[in-house]
Amino acid sequence: MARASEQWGTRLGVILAVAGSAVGIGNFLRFPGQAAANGGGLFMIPYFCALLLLGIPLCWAEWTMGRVGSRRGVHSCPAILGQVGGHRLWRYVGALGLLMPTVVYLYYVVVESWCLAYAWSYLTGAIDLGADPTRYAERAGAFFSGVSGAGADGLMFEGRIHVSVYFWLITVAANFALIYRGVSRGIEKFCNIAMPIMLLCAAVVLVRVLTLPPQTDATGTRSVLDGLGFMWNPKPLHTGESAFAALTDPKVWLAAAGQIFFTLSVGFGVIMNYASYLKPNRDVILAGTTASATNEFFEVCLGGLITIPAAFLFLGAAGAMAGTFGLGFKTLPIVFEYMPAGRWFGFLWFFMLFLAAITSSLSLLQPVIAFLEEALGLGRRASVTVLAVLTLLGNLFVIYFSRDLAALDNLDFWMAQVGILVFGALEVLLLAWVFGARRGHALALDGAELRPPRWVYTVLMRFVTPTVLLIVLGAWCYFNVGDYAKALAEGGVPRYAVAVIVAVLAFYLVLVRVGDRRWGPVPTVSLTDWKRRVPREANR
Amino acid sequence: MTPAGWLFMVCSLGLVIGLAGFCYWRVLTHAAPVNGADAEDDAT
Repeated sequence: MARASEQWGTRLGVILAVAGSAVGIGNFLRFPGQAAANGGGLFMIPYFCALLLLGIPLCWAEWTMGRVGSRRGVHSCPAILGQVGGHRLWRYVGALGLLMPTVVYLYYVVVESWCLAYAWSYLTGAIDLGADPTRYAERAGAFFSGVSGAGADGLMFEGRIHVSVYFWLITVAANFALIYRGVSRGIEKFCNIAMPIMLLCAAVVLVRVLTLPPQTDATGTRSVLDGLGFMWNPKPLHTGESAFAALTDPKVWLAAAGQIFFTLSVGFGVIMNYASYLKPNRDVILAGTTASATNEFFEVCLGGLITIPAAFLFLGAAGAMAGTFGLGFKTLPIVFEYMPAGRWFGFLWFFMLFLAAITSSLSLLQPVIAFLEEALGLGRRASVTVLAVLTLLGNLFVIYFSRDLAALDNLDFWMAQVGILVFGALEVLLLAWVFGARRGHALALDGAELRPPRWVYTVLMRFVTPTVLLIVLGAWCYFNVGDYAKALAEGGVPRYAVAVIVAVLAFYLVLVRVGDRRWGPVPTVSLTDWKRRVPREANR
Repeated sequence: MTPAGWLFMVCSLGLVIGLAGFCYWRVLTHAAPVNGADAEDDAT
């Protein structure tokens, strides 16, 4: 079992840690692009619907399951799902809650190292787009290719070890050094410092963007208000349509649901793990809602006002619609080049993205560390070492197959687009149908400072959320699987990516088998047992 | 920026800031009723 001392130090600490897990690169780069491409301000209607019908219920479901873990003294997804489901078979389903964070970490930490490389390059003045504005785009693209190795496979190890590899190693070392220090001394302390710094950096960049003067080029003069309009004005998806026709397009609703899942970090199993380190009778509903609200603040209030308006102001519509990585790593450097004192704002921006990424990647490592400790009886040092070796090998796959970011894109496709929907559906079905919606509600209410109505559990979680999830998953398959099947048939990186995922899953299933023998049968626990008052000493 | 754009932006920002403000106000000012146990400790 995990060490008894592993608990969050303060309530604000756990909220900032969960918020830090949710706030990541996607808040600043993915959300604005999704909104601008899917109806502008109208996108917020399906977005907030998805938040209320999918995001918040799933978030509360994960926090409630985390509470089960905290009461039974277990912190890993397989052990918690075994307890919630009341059957050892659920422990094997819990292997998905290890697979998801592990595989996402494999590519996420690489992107995180790009942010560090960019921040360092701005600090030292190594990014130079030259004096000719007509060549900014070419030079920014070349710089990104150099950092990411997007030009060809194996570029990072060709002839000599590329400087990006060193940034990757520094990023990995920072992650494992923090995770080694533990939940309270490592993750919580770091998030307590990093989150306010992120807020400060983003606020400084926001003020700079909102006070920029109008820019004139061959296409005309654009102001910041025009940039905000490009982001927030309702606009049709196709020429000649009414703007409100966007609301009838299933792809817009699909994009909103995907964004909510991705941004709240639900369906990864990480919230469940973090919540299991709470003291047994502490509030989970207010803490969960506050963490989600913090994430939304970073996404809508900061991400929604900075990225697209700045890109539109200097580069027009074409620059603002460059995709997540294009916007972040190719367009924004051009924006900073045009901006007075852009070098320093560029540093602040990419340093903030690096902090946002590292608070997220820590949350991807902790669930696996908890599992290795519980299933194999390893100490912290041994579990950190095992996970470091495993993930370093996986990182090499992502770094080597870097042409067009193919390995990264394929792993992201399976995990952050398909996997979170599948695992999210399994989680909510488990809590609402197997554990019991009323039972889950009663458990969530224990010590709750916000009291969710029972229908959130008995109606939303039982019927609405799973139905919406299955519809989203079905629609997603309808729109995407055909193209992906063709790519898979051609072989190459898409097949290798699937092989990596299957290998990691098989590895975890074997370890769950070991843990299952170690843990023994799942004890039967009645509702009275779940609700029984936890001794005062347990909350100390 | 059209009036509809302003409407969507202000409503979205207002909703999110309102929710975050309410949550942090509750977290920072209210002690948790932990079944009567160590409520003062929970205010941390």
